[in-house]
Amino acid sequence: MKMRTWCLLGAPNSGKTTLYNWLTDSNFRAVNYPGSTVEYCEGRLSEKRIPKASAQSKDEFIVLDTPGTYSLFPKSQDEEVTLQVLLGKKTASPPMGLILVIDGTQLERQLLLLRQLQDFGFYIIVALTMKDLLRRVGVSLSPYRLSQKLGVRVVEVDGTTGEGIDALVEQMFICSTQLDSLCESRELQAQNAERSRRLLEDSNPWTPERVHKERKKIAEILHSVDFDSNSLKSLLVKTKKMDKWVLSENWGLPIFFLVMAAFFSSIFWLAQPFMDLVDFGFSFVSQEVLHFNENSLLNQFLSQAIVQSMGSVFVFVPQIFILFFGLSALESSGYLARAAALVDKPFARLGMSGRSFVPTLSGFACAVPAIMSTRNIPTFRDRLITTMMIPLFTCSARLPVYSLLLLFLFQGSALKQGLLLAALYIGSLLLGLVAAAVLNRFLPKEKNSFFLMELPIYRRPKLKVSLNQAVLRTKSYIKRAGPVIFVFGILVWIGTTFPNWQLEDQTERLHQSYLAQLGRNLEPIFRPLGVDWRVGVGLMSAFAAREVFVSSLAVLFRIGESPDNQDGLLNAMREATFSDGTPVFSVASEVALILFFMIALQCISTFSVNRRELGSWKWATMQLILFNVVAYMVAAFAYRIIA
Amino acid sequence: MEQNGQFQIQKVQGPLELCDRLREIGLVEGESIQVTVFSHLVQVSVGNTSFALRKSEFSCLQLQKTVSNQVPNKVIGAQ
Repeated sequence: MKMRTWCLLGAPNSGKTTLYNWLTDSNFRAVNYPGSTVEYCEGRLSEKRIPKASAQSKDEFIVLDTPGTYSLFPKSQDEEVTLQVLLGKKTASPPMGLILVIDGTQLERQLLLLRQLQDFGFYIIVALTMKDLLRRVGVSLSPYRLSQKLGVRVVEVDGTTGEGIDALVEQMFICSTQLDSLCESRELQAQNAERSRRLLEDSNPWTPERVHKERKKIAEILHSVDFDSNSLKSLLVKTKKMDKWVLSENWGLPIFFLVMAAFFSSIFWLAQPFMDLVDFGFSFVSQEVLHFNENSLLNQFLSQAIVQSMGSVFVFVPQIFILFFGLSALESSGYLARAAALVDKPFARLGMSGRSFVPTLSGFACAVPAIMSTRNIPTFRDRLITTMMIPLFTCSARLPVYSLLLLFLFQGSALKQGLLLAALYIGSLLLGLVAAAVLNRFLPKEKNSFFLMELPIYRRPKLKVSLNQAVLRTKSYIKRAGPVIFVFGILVWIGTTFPNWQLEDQTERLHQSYLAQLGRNLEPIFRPLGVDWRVGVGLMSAFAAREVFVSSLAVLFRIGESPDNQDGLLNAMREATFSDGTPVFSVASEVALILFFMIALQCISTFSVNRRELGSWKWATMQLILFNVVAYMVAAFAYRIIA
Repeated sequence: MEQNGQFQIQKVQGPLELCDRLREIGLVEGESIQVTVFSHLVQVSVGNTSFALRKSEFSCLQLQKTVSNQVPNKVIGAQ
């Protein structure tokens, strides 16, 4: 069995990930923003794509997707990844051939990369994308004629319908057969080694004169195939009109804040009816399980440890779904590149560039992919500052915690909850910016970074695509958080039930439990935050995953309560008191908890991805210790002031 | 001093890495571009795409005005 590897590459936003999804039957996020792919990924060619004539063949086809690059001479970490993949430094061997993805509306510019690839002796098939846009402006292009002039195979593909994908696969099979004999030859190995040497040389052989000459040749070729790029300019008309408003000094920032405020506040008010529905479902099941036999330990376990703890977190899934849906719609609209350009100036004052904006925004969903997406930031200093501030943003794992605390503070007022949630999002952004400013002040200065952002044309977000992306990302959230919540739900329940599980009075049983004993010993640590040992146990469990805080409270506070609905937990929190009768949850302790969660770095995945991306333990460990110590001190200080 | 309008790039000069990137994206000597200046950035349209550049990056392009209704033949950018 032979393994044949084909690598997709091309300029940023040319449609590589869309093509990769078609070829491998994957569901990777393809967005209308240059630089969204920062790591290469590998997939097997989907079986349904294999041509009938080759169906019997047992050979395996591997497809690699790479971060976008304008040239073979990298200027950022993600472009470096692409070069390494091309040279086989990331995989077992260099790819057999390349599929150069070229945006059909950008032929003049993107063919330069083809000339470079040809210069270095790669085997190439060109996939021309954005066929729908070409069709819209009435530009027809003959792949056959272009192929003859360029000296490579050219296939036109449509990323929205999948038209042309089969023809592309057919070309891959034909080329692979032709290349088989070459692959085993020593000549090819020597050629690969020579190519690596030339590409890794310090000096760029593509001098300005060479670029100029090649661009002239490209223009001649396009002219000879009757490609009229002038008619494509009509594509930009609408985009330019919109940019006059979106990028203007008077309207740009108000539009930006309006878009962001609408996006973040909708997470609360739009989700409320769905949250009520999910809550009702879990409460109903929990109640039914317990009513079946209230004295049975098994029924208590199922109702309290499993259903209640899972329900207390999954009630927030609608909010998380709306967050991902909104992000997906923004990503596909083309607005994010403009937003990045708009915030470049304030970001530059903090030692970053507009390139840090999209990782920042992604940080509001999850810090892990957000930190990975900093790879398209050209300088280490910018990347470090961005990476250090991302964990401060309100990620989806914090959402259930904030929602519970806000529900407690403003029960019955969805408007106040929504506004305060939006304020928390803005607050976390400001906090991140303060952290960036501090770092910018103390980090040694490096060479100036440059900011150069391609502005893609605006596209109307497709409802089906955004829904699909939101479903996928919500599923992935549930898969990630679900098992942790499940395990901790069981652990907390065991800790609060044993050793005196026979006691009928559940409150007494809780007070004599293992977890209560441990919690009481640790209570002095949490007392400065104004909370008791139960909240302290919740805070400790949040280091497994922030959402576990909510499920732990659900188990710890609702013991002995009827699990009628979500209000049960809120009522239990309201009635919880210290031994002297003062309430555990007051405005002061709630504010302290919110501040603690805003600053603390409790996510182990974030810690490990930080270590990997920054290439050392130093920064990741410093961040972990510093953020948690500062979180504790700020929360304790706030409690002291307010109380 | 920057102004809106249609220009031709006369020279690309500045830090090597930046100049390389400008050329790679199509901002090369002899190319016609459309410039829209905002207070915080410059939008440069080349062919059928556009880029947002900081003013410092934009100043690497030495330009000659081609279509003008303001000041004819004024060279702007790095001088």
